[in-house]
Amino acid sequence: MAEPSPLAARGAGRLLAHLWMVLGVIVVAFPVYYVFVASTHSVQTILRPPLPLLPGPEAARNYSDAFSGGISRIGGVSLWRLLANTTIVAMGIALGKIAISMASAYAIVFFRFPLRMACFWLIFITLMLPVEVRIQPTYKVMVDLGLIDTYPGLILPLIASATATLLFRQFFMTIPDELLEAARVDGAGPWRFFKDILWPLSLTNVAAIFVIQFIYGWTQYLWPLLVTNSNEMNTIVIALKKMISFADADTPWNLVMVTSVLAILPPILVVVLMQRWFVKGLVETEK
Amino acid sequence: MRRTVFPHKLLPWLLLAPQLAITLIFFYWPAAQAFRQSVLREDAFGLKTTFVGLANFRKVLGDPNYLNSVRVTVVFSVLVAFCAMAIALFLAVQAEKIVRGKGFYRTLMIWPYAVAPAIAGMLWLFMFNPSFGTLAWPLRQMGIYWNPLLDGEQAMALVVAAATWKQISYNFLFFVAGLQAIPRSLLEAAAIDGASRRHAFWTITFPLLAPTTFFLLVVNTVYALFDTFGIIHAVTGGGPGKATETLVYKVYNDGFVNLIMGDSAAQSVILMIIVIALTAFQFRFIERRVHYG
Amino acid sequence: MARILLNDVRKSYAGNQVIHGITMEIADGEFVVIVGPSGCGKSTLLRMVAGLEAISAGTVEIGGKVVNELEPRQRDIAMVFQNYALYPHMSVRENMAYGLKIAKLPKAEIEARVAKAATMLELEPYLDRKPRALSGGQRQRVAMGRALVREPAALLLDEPLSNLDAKLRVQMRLQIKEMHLRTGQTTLYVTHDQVEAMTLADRLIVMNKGVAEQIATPLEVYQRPASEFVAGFIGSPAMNIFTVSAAEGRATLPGGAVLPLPGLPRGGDLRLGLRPEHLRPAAPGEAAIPVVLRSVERLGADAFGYGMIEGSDVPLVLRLPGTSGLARGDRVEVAPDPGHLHFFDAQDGRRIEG
Repeated sequence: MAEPSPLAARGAGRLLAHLWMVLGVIVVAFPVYYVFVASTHSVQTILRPPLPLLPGPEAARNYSDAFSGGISRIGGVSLWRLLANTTIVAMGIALGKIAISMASAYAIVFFRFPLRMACFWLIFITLMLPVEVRIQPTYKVMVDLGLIDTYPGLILPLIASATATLLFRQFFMTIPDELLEAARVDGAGPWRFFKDILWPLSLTNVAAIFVIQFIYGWTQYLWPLLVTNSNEMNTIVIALKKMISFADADTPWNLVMVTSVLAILPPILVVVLMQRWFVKGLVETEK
Repeated sequence: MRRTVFPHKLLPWLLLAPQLAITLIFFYWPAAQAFRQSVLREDAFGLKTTFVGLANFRKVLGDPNYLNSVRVTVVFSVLVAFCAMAIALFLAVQAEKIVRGKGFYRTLMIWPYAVAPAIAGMLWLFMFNPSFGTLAWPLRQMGIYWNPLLDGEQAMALVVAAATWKQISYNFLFFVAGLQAIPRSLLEAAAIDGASRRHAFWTITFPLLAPTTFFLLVVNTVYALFDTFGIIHAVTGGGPGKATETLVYKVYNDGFVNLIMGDSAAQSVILMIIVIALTAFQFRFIERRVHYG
Repeated sequence: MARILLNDVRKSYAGNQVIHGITMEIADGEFVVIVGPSGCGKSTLLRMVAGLEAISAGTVEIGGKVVNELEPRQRDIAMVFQNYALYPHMSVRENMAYGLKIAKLPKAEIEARVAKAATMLELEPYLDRKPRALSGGQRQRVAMGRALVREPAALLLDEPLSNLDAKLRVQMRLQIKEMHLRTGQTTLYVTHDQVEAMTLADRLIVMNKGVAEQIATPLEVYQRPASEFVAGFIGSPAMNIFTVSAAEGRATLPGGAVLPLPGLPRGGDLRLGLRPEHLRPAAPGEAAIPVVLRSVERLGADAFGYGMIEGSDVPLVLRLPGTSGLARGDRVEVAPDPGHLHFFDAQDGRRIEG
């Protein structure tokens, strides 16, 4: 157990702090909890406020209904398909980013070649070009390349980002020169050094970046909105938005709530389960 | 500077190739196109384009709708950045006062980080839906006429709440880390010097947190400017009556819904300039603090 | 095991020469120490032999083969780094075996070599530990072991003991010496510590500003330093060196005293070097150097007197018996041991033979 913080309070002060934290946690976690509660009630209960604070009796029915065709009836695409699409996109973005940014950071840090710094800046400047500021022309490129309504179209433009490259570069630069020298004297070339030494030492960082980028991929909105026309290619977030936009008196809100829960749960699980690496990676690398 | 490197000359290019290819195809080429389009105008049928110089920019900057969205963006960003940071700092300070149970609170605090902005918007809309929102109900019971789908200020309040809620987790984690990085001896010295907790916070802790606060200020501004597109698109669609139409939303709307390419491109270029300014600002500051070697 | 040949080896960075042509033959099994102050280029020279720095001019031969263009791994060398550079995620066993694994040695052979090195270095109990669970001395031994298992043509050590505390350093120094006697490995060892240099080396390269000031056995370096720099660098406390003006077998000292000196090489201004241990109290009436003591440091067996030559501000250090009753302010007359006079050129600092 670590020493308590020097900011730790005593007696009443500490109790008050607990009260504030409980209040904060309620505000922060309540919306997520509440949508889960809603997903366990019937449409009638949901539409007649106020909604009870505790889960209702309809959970099993709502969830089995949603998975067995309920969502297809409102959204035109099965819940399974939506989850699969989103998982493919999120994993593709997270793993793709790790692969290409590790490769380029490796090249920039462990080699010397002409235009090395020019390449670095070329990548670095993309920090300043988020999708949002180049929506239209990027869309046109996608159309020209025939990538609309495809997985590569959903993934590729999002896997080149300066952030991951910068994080790996920063980490690689902390590897002592002597470690590389020892490895070279031991006979390791670029591939062996990467595989036997750099990769094992990077695992914590890789885990952190994986979490951050998985969330990034899972929560994408503008881009999937643009490059998917077919319902079949929607991510769960986009599908949810469509269900709500076209809502009318007959909308089965209970199933919409189930979809919301399933759109929220996987990334929350990833963050909570990988919390240790995620927090360390986020805070240590982004400063 | 690294002393030892591998001597290969071709290999680094192969390693860089994927990232460079994607960067050029999906970043530089479209960005260049945005610049090109921003000085061109298409005729009504999209058949002919003519060079119009800065006319698109003049048109955009003279458009009352654009100026409205600048105003909306400023109000929205300032509110979101301030609220999200103030609440997170307050909670982080409370969390540091606690000895046991910190991990438990943190686990619950980080949930919103994992929620998509659009879904955050939908959650808040669900709770405050004028017809069946559970939290809208007591408002109406109190005699408030609550309908964010018709009232611009209420709509703004709702998207600000959702955007703030989503960002508290991130800020909280950074403030906690910032607080933990404050040298113990300084706070102990202040305590020995007889400073009250409140006094020590404003004279020691808060100034020493400045780097974290500054970093978060930039990150939150960028977040409010760009990442909140989903919230606005999902909750208000820019309405009612353009009351929540931010700059990014307008670029999307003009380019994809109204199909005015020249205007949309000019707006993109303006946004790019804003991001570049913010990034440069941030890096000037970060370079001073972090030594890259 | 092999002979190493340095032939006019030079290094420049961006046109700025930092190693000015070093030529030397290191015999098979010889233990050579490169010693000098920090920034003298000693590590650079070692790293050029290792293949971690490019050689700007000249050639390095290991075992009869010019290795200038070869990668470190092709040179059949092993190296121990100042900070050990152990792979933090590998156990002691894996650290030692890594190079052998890359060289695709049979498993049994790898195990045998690691076991042998572990026995020699008393590392058996730690073979499955990670480096972070080891003490400084243990890490140092692992670094040694990692180099030894390779059974390289040449063993290179870059300040291997400088991260250890004083007591451990002495212990490890003895162990390295012992190990060298046992393995007969051709060894090149870099240090800034003259005690390590003197005790370990078969031969020394004393470097200063990228130049090899002297290449010789420790005793020779001590007895006949080739330059004023070497004279001042080797020996503790450092040799007293000051300018005298010589004429007709006599030297006029700073402060005006005149001393007849046998073997004065020539007239004019000269630099005279006298080691503290080669000054003794003068007999009555003997021509001597008058010294006024400023302080006396007592180390037990010995004491060192720090003073000035009377009538001047030239400092002089004397070695005194531990029981000496001399104290601050005392005036003593000392005479140099005629067998241990050193003369250097006043301009270029080179030794002048008497």
